[in-house]
Amino acid sequence: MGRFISHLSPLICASVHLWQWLEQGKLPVEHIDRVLALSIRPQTSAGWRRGISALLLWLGMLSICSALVFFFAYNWHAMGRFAKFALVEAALLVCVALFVWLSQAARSAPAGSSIGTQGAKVALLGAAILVGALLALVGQTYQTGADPWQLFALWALCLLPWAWLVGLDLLWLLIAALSNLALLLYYHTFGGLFGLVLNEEQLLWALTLVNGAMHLLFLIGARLGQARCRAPLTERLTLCAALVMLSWLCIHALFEPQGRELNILVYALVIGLGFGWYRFKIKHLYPLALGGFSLITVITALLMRLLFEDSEPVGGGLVLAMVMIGGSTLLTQWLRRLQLEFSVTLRETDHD
Amino acid sequence: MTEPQAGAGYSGRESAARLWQELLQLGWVKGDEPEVAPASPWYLVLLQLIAAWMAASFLLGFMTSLLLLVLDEIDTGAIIGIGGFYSLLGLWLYRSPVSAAREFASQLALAINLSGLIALGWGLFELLDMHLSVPWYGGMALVLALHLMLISHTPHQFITALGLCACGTGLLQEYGALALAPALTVLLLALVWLTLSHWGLQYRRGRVLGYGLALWVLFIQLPYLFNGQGVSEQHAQGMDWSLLAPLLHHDWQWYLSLLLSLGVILLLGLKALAQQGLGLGSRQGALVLMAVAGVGLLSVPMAGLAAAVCVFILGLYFKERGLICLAVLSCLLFIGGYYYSLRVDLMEKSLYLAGFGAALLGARGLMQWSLAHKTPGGNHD
Repeated sequence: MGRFISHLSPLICASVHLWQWLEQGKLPVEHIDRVLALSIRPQTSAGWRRGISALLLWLGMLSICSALVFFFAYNWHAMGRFAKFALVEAALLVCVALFVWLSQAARSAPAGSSIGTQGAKVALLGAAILVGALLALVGQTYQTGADPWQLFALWALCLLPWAWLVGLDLLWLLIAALSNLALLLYYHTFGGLFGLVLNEEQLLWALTLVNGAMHLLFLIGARLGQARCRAPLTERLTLCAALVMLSWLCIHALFEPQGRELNILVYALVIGLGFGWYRFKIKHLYPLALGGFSLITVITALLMRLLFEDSEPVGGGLVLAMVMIGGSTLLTQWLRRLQLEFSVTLRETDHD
Repeated sequence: MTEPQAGAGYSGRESAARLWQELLQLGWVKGDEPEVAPASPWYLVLLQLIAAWMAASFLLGFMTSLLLLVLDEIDTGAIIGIGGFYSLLGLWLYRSPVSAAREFASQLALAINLSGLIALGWGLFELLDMHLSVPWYGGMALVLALHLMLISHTPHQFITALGLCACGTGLLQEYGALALAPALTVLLLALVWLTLSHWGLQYRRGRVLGYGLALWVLFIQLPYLFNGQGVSEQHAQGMDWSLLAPLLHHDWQWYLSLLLSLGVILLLGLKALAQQGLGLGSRQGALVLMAVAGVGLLSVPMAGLAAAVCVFILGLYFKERGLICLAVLSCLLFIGGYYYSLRVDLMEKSLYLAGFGAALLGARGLMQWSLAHKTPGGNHD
C-alpha cells in the first residue's frame, strides 16, 4: 500500500511548480486553464490496477479479521473451550500458511514483478493480530492470574522473531505500540520497578527511553544496511513519542524545578546531539522539524513561567504569541533552506 | 507522451520538467525551466498549524486581559469587536505587500485570524442568547466564506473550508433537513473535484475546499454508524421484515446520499474507461458496474462504506495522496464503528464482514488471474 501511495506524487509536485512559475511571471495567466488541463494527467491503467488491487486486498483482509473478532464476541459464552482454541489456531495456521505460500510465489516470480508480496504482508499482519487473540484466550480460559501488561509484553515478544525475519514496517509498529501499552499498564498496576515505588515522571522517562531506543535501533540498523530494520513509519513515530515525552519532562521541570535539573540537562543534551546528528551526519528534515518545534514550545513555557510567576502582566499573552510565531517562522525558513540543500545533495549523490 | 512503466513513477521534478517541455513546444513559455522551491512537507505544515493555534490562544488571552484593564467586564459587544478587529488585522497582514517577512506575516495572520474567528463565534453565540441558530450559522458562514475568498494561505483555507461545511450542516439542521447533509456534501464534493481543472487561478483554493469537503463527507457518516440515525420511524418502533430488513432500515435521504456516492464512483469509472478507449459494454465496463452494485449493496448494512470508497476512487483518479489516506483511515474507523451499531446483532455483522471480505479477496484474485491471462508475466500485485 505504501509503495502504491508513493507513486501519487507527480500531480501534486507539478502543480506546486506551476504556481511558482506563475508567481515568477514565467507563465502567462491567460493560459492557466489550458496549463492546468495539461498538468492534470489521467491516472494510468497500471495505477488503477495497483490502487484497486491494494484496496481489495487490505479491505478484504481487514473485514475477515474483523468478522472473526465479531464472531468471537457474539459466541463467547456459548462456545466451548476447545471450539474457541480450534477457531483461533485454525485462523492463525491459515494466515501463516498463506504467508509462506505467497512469499514462495513472490520469490519464484519473474524479476521486477511484485506477485505475492502485498498478500504475504497482509497475511503476516493478520497472523500477528491472531497471536494476541490466542494469548488473550489462554489467559482468560486458564485464569493464569497474569496481569494485563504481561499479555501485551508477551505478545510483543512473540512477534519479534517474525518482525526480524520479514522486516515489515507495520509489524514493527505493532510491536512498538504493544511495548508502550505494556509499559503503561505495568506502571498502572505496580507503580514501580525492582521494588522501588515510582511515580508518573518515571513512567515518562521509561517511555522516552524505550521509544528513543527503538528509534535509534531502526535508524542505525537501516544505515548499517540491515533491510529488516528499514521501517520508516515506526522510526518516525517512535521519535515523535520520545520527543513529546522528553519535552513534557522538561516543561514539568521548568515549573517545578526541585530535584528535576536532570530533566533539563538531558533535554538540552538530546536536542544538541540530535541537531548535530540529523543536520550534518544523517541529513533528515523530519527530526529537525520535531526538535525545533519542541524547543520553541519549551522556550515558550519558560517565558510563561518567568512572566506569570509573580504577576499577570497584560502584555504577557502578546509576548508569548509573538515568540511562538516568530520562532516557528524562523524555524520554517531554516527548514526550507535545509530541504533545498538536502535535495541538492541527494541529486548529486544519485548522479555519482 | 508515454505512460510511466508499471512499478516506476516520475518524481515531482521529472513531472515538472516534462510539463515545461510541453509548454515550450506549445510556445506558451520561453527559456529554461525556472528553479523553484520544493513544497513544504506535510509535517511542517501541521506543526505550523499547531503553533498558530497555540499563539491564537495567547493572543485571545492578551486581548481579554487588556480589555479587562479598561472595562469592568467584557460584554458581548467587546468580544465581537475583538473578533472583528483581529479578522481585519489578519486579512490586512495576509494581503500586505511586505514580502521579506511574508512567512512571519502569514504565521502571525493565521494566529490572529484564528483568534478572531473564535472571538466572533463566541460573541455571536452570546448575542443570540447562547443558542446556535440560523443567524449564528449564517453569520459565521459569511465570515468564513470571505476568509476563504480573500486569504491564500493553505492551512487557513483548510480550516475555513471545514468551518463552512460545519456551518452548512448546522443550517440544514435548523431547517429540519439535517438528513440531507450527507447527500449534499457528496454532491458538492463531486462538483468541486470534477470541475477543478476549470477553476483557473482559484485551483488551489478549490483543491483545499475539496479536501475539506472530503473530510466532512466521511465525518458526517459517524452518526449513522454509531447511533443508527437515518433509520425510519417504523423500524425504530420494532417492525421488521427479516429478509428485507436491512434495505428498509434507512430514510430516503440516506439512500440519496448512497446513490450520489455510487454515481460519482460510476462516473469516474466511466471516465477512466473512456481514457483507455473502452465503454460500458466491455469486460472492464461490466466489472465497473458489478463493483458499483457490490459497494452499494454492502453499504446498506455498513454505513459510510460508499462514502469512503467514493473518496478513495476520487483520490485514485486525481492522484491525490491525501484523499486516499483519508479514505483508508475512514475504512478502519467505519469497520471499528460497525461493532457498536445497534441495529444488527454481532453474528449478522460477522457474517456480513466475512462475506464482504471473501468477496473482495475473490474479486482481487479474479482481477489478477484475468490480467495474468491477458499479459503473461506482467506486474500485478
